[in-house]
Amino acid sequence: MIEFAISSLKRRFWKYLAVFFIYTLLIWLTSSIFLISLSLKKELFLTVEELPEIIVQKTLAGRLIPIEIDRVEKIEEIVGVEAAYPRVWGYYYFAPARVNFSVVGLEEIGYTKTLNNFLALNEFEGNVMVVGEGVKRILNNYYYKEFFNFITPSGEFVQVKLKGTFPTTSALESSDTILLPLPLARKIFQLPSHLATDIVVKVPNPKEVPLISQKIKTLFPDSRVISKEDIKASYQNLFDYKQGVFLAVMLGAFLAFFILAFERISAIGQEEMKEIGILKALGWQIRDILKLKFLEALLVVGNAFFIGIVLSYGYVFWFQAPLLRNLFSGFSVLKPTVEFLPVWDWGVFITLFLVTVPLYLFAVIIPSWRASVVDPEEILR
Amino acid sequence: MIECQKVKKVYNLGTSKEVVALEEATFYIPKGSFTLLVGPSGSGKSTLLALIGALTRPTSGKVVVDGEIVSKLPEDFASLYRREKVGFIFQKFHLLEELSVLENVVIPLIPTSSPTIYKKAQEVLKRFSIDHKAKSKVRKLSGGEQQRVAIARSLINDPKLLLADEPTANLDKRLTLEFIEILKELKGEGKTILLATHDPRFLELDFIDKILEVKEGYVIS
Amino acid sequence: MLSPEVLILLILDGAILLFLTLSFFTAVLIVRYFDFSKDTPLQYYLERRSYLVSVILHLSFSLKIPLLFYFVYTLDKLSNVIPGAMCAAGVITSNSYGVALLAVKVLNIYLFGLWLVANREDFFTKEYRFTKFKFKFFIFIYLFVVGEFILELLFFKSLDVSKVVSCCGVLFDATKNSTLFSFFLLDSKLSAGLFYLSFFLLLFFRKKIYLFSLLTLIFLLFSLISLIQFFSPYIYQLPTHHCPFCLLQKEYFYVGYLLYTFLFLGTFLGVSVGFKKFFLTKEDKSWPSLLFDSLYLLVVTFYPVWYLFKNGVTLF
Repeated sequence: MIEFAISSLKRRFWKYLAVFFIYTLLIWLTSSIFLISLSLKKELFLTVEELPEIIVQKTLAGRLIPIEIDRVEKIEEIVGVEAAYPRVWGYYYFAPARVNFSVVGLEEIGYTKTLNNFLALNEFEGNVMVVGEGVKRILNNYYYKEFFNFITPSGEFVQVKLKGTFPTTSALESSDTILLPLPLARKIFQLPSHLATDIVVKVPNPKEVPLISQKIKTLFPDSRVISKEDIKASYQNLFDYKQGVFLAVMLGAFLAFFILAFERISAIGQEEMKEIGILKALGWQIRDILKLKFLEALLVVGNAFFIGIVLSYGYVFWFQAPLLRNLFSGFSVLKPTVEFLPVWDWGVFITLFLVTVPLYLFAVIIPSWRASVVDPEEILR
Repeated sequence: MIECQKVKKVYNLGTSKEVVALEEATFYIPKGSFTLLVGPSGSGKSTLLALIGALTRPTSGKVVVDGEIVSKLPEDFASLYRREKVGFIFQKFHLLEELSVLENVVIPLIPTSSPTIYKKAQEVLKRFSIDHKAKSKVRKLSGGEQQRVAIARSLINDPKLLLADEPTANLDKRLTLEFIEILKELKGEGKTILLATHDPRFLELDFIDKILEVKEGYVIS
Repeated sequence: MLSPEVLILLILDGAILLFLTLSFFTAVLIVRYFDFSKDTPLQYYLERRSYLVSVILHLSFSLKIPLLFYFVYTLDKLSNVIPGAMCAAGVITSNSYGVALLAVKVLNIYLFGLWLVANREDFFTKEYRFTKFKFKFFIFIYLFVVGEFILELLFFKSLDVSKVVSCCGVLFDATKNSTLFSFFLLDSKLSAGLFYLSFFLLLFFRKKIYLFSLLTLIFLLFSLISLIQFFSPYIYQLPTHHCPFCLLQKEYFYVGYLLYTFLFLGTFLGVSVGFKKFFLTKEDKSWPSLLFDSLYLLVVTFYPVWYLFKNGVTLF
């Protein structure tokens, strides 16, 4: 039966070629976009993994404001907290290039591993800064090769020496970042020394996080407490939502395709009609014809699926998704160095499979059935 | 072998396009006999063949073949009946032109998914000395060769009953004679043969057991 | 909630519903006009439509089974974004439609299966003996399918990411008589006892087909209760963990897929023998059903025995 199905497809090569081609294209496109977003998500989660367990911010009238540094000690007194650090960071708008840099002030001890490793290897004092690749490129464009002039809120210039760029583990995180010694960061933001942007809390046992969050909230009712889990959940939500919206758009394309496939396959020509009549007169049952038609459909859709997936893998992870990547980069200016990290997620492939293969089979139900009930008596006339 | 009792066929029954193709026909064809079905085209010969081959069901009456009531079979059972007991030879052969000879011949057996179908096909092809063309496409064969493929295909399931609908309409005299020889041989093997034709040459054959004449839907023995 | 998984579930279930609606009209026509003794174009048309419905049901059925697992997978995934939920159990109880939806989904798979059994028998008779019956039965099933789809829409629409729900630890905690599942809260040992008892009754009455089918339903009920109350803590090796969904996760070697396959297959076959005898006048043996029931029983019994063997104590 399978040989017959293959030869039947071959004989109608041109009829199925368009269907096959467009279907492969659609699967490739959907799969590529899924893979890119999955890869970005993986990268983001790697970044999130490095975050401290809890971040404490202060709010006033619903807006974030700097938080008092003396709260650090009180938080450290809570049982289960290993340490708490104040952070000074913010965004610096570089008007000529119309971009925001993330400016991060560092003490001797950072709160992430990458930064710690980096600090251990470098002297980091006075008016110096270390920047990400993206920042360096932009500064170079504006002829800041050796130093850069920050403008403080009160309008003074602060000249800072460009000491170098830092290594990037996760490109998303760091490409737009400027690292400064803490006092310098305060100076640029004009942040008084009893205040910090926020406080990060290290909690060794993740199971204690909800309880500690609760305690901090009770201790300082004006604070906003964000845990790592919260951030993950909101990212997950965001990605699901984006993928969902995207899929909804893609479905339009799929629908158009199914109509095409339906048209193509249901247009049973005279020749094919006669052929099925002959098969039935020679003793083929309706279920045999149906089997044949579904085998044909499975061959088409199965191959299209397989080839589409393989192509999208090559396209995203080998060629780094030319063209499509622009679609995903609101950060295209600052983050040109994003490397898509290879991912493999069964869930996504099952999802892709479910959205493509069964719907195709549904699209061919009626045409196949129509073929299978061709009246065998016709051929005697 | 074949028993028809008051078999009547009306097409498009209950609609405005009602056509009576066959009036109540009653006849009997014994096992192993060679029966000729004669009459002008459009007289109802094909309808009769279709009813006996269970390609359609009669409006009323009963058709019994080899002890089985074939006039009241659901479509899938009718197919099964054809696969197991009937061999068809059509007027235009109805071969699949783009397929090879071998592929054409195995068609009736493909649904059985038995592993020996290609072996069987080779044997039948050998019998009609067309096995040397097994791999060629039917499209490239001559008329006579195509006919032998059609006969081989009708016999691959070793049917008890052979139904032929104007098999020689497109053949020249030499090939018709060759075909008649094969028929004779098959009758010798005990196959029941029913052949519809309007070719008068058949009437002169010496091994005819029965002649049924069909005229405007009426069957006359 | 608009996650890709939810979207796909809705689309596929929607597609199934669309085609079943098509079949529904055929079913009505067939119930009214089907008459095999007639030679009218309408009759030929109806016979052919009957095949179409059969194809649609086959495809829907073979899609519904993976979709059920996919549904649970989706819930598991959603449990990441719904605060408090640790697995599918939390998500499904987060609003009042979830449990009913899951129940109807399982029920529909059973019904589809039974329809296919009837269909098969029908195609094996030479006179379309059960055609009318199977389409009447289909009309009945169709109502459930519509119900399932409405429930599914309501369920996903009312999922709320800002509402805190309970995790499975709370849901199945016998001491806090808290949730929808309170019906399931028999004493652990008692539930296990009833489970084994119902199995032996099955074994004992294996020849009395109707009783056997009825007992199969009871067996299914006690299987689920005892799975939650008695066996799952042994599987998780944690006396307070009573969740029927976490079984499907990697940490427990996906044993849930095996268990549910055995249980659902066994009980389906059990129900189907009664169904066949009553509606299709066909006697079937009960041993295939008993075989899968026994396999389920063996796998599930293995856990407490193994626990006892390793630790020398029982959990309850």
